[in-house]
Amino acid sequence: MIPYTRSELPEVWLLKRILFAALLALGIVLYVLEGLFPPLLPLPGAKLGLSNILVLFTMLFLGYKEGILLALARSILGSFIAGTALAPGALLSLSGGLASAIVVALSLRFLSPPLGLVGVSILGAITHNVAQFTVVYFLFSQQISGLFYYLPVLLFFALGSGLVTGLIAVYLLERLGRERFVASFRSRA
Amino acid sequence: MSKKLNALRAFWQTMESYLTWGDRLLIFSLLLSIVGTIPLLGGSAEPNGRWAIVRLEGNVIEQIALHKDRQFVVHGPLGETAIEVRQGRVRVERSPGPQQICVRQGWIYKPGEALICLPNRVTIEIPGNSGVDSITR
Repeated sequence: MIPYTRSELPEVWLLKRILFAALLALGIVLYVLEGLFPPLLPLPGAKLGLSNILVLFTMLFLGYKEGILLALARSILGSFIAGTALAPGALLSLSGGLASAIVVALSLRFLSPPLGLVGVSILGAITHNVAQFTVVYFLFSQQISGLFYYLPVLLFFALGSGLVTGLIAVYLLERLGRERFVASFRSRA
Repeated sequence: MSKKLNALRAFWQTMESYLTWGDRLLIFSLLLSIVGTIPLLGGSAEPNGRWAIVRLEGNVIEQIALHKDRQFVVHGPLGETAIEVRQGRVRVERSPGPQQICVRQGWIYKPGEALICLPNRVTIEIPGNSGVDSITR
């Protein structure tokens, strides 16, 4: 959770919570909206993952733990709104989202100087798909033969979707950076 | 036309400016490794490729590999049903049924397809799903 420390001004503490709530709301909206549209490609697993931009932003503005929390909350609440909660698809989305958020946090912390936001986003997208693939493999490997041959296809689309979401994230950040409000949070990251 | 092209070029340059050298290296190496695994996987998928199951009166009498060309005969209650395998496909060459449905069906090769010679109680089935059953997200 967002820690309450005495050293923080109450206004800052409140602002952080409000910002987290706003980011979470945006993340859920993107998550649900994306599920409403028919898939761009007739392939299971090929999705843009726009709500991951919000995970990335939360990590930049508020911190890594908050970003992971946002990814979890987004998957759980979003699946309830989309009506896919407690179905295998929601479990897939949850595991993928969690693994991807952890990897994004780690790569932001340790790999960020050589990698930009786009690279981090690509790593996150690939982790998302690999985690989902692993869950599918353990759940359904008896029913579906030749599942393994689907992995390179999945990774290829993860690369593409990570690239697009990363570019959108950098673009948004550049525009947001002009606002003093957000800039004050960026210094903390 | 050139205006559009210039806008596209400007867009491309903006997008490129968002990438660090680390990003470029990551994208390049990932693309290379993904493309590298495709022939590896495709190669191992082919040799023990598809099978067809031949049944007589519901009992499996033979599993035939579709990558080996051959012709053979199954003896049913009405007589001989001749089956031919060629270039990964199967067909019924002749069968004693009155309507010749399975003979006229011709070659089958996709998973999920089947030839059924009902009067002679012979069926040939290529096991597997015919396509995408559901999409999860």
